[in-house]
Amino acid sequence: MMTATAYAGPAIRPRTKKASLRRLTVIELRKMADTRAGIALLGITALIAIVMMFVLAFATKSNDGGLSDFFRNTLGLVGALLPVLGILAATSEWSQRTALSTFTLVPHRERIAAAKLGAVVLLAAVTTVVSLGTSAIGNGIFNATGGNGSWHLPLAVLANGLVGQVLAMVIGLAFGLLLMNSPLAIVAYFLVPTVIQVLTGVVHALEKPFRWIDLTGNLNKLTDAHVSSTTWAHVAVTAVVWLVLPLVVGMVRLSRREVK
Amino acid sequence: MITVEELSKRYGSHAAVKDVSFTCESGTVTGFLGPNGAGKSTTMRMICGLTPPSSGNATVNGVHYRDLPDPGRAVGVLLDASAMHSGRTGRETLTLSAKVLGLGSDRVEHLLKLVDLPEAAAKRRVGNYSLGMRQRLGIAHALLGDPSVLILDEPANGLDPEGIYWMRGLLRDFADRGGTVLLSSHLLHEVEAVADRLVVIAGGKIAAQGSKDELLASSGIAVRGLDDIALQKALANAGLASTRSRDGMFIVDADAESVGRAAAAAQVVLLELRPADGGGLEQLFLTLTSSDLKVAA
Repeated sequence: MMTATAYAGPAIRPRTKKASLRRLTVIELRKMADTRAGIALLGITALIAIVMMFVLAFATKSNDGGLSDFFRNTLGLVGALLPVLGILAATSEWSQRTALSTFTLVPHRERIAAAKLGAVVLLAAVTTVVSLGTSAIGNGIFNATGGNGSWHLPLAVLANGLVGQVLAMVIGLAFGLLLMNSPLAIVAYFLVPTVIQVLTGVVHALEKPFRWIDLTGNLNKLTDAHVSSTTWAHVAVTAVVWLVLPLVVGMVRLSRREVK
Repeated sequence: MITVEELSKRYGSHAAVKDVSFTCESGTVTGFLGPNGAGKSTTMRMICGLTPPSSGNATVNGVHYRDLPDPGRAVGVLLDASAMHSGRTGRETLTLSAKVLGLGSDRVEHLLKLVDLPEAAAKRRVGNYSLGMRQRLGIAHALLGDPSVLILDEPANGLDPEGIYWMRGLLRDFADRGGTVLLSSHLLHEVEAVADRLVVIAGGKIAAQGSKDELLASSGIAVRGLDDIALQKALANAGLASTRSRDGMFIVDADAESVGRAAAAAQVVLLELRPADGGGLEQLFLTLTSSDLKVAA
């Protein structure tokens, strides 16, 4: 039985300070992992990393292998699915209509966008570390079962891997912010780069300029053992086209959109 | 306190809200009424900074919603109980907002208890909730930051009779302790039971506003005598115009004393002498909104 007078709850100390960006970032991180979709995506990603660990440990020829190779291979697969989490971080606010409560509690919408940005960068860092962990275990098993995998991990490989993960996640978020619709953003994220790739395969004149905006190709190159300065230039231009543009347009849309 | 000044919202050539002005004082419950599509929800969204107004101004506690230092501590908002993530549990939904407000889990548990969502419901995903349970969760969400202003759009929708009765008490108590409530509802009886002031909106414009007593003031005196013909004659002799109502009463546009004296002068025995029924909120609502609908059509 409910009672009307029970309302007077424990006295809350009045606060006149808005929630800090750090607090909002932690909350956004939690929001990516507390829904069914979020748990499923994180679970599948973890599963991929673990399966990859055993595949690499047992299916690698005894002369190949090594921590650096294992890490790059794991990261390539783990990074394939993760951007969906970045997309959903932005789009689920609209598809699930949580934007209504999110933006009544934090009316300055750019702060929520900044918190989401921080959250996906953090998550990308965490998955990179986890990938490194499973790769290390994989290499340990590999060596224990007769392999001769080196433990040497060049700092550049680690850094490039991290940059690639962060870029993929943030581009996912930017697509979500821009399109504000889950299926549309997910299809666009996977399809548009592929369509461009197919087009350039058919039209040879496009092949050279395409290298500057080849999202899938350039992100993959970041997990190569050596990344040339030309590739870095390609990556930078690709990031402007696929990340900065959608992010800026998405922010403008976000600030103007009516929340229903 | 909520102040709305000449608020307008146009979508292309269609004006959803036109020059709407009203004030909700602290300590009062304001009922916000109007037919579907009248502009109630649009007005409420504009107050909460979710919809940019085309012109006009809305403030809460004297400042624009956007400029409130910590909106969740000042204003409790429930605009749509179905706007919750279906994949989150009820408890998680409250916990996320509690964290934004810097509140602990004890506050979440307190509110779950307050709105009568038991443990079994709290750990279920909102997608499996009935509309009534979502409303309870939504009300808990609105009350989370212990605000002084409540803005509720159709909060009684989907609640069972016990829940409606409970909410009426909660809102009354909230206002009596100095809170401000703006409440929209289609359940006219509920609004009539709890509201102090009414704002009726139709076709995007204010059709009427004022205190409930003022707006629902009965029109004239209803009187019934032992001898109808003698009573009619007595009233006519006293110069009081009367009409006959459907249930056999005479409706007189005068005060009770004049009617009583007229009857006494003619020695007519009275059986009933009372304020005529105003028809209540429903009658007022239909009168105010139907004419506007005709104009709109």
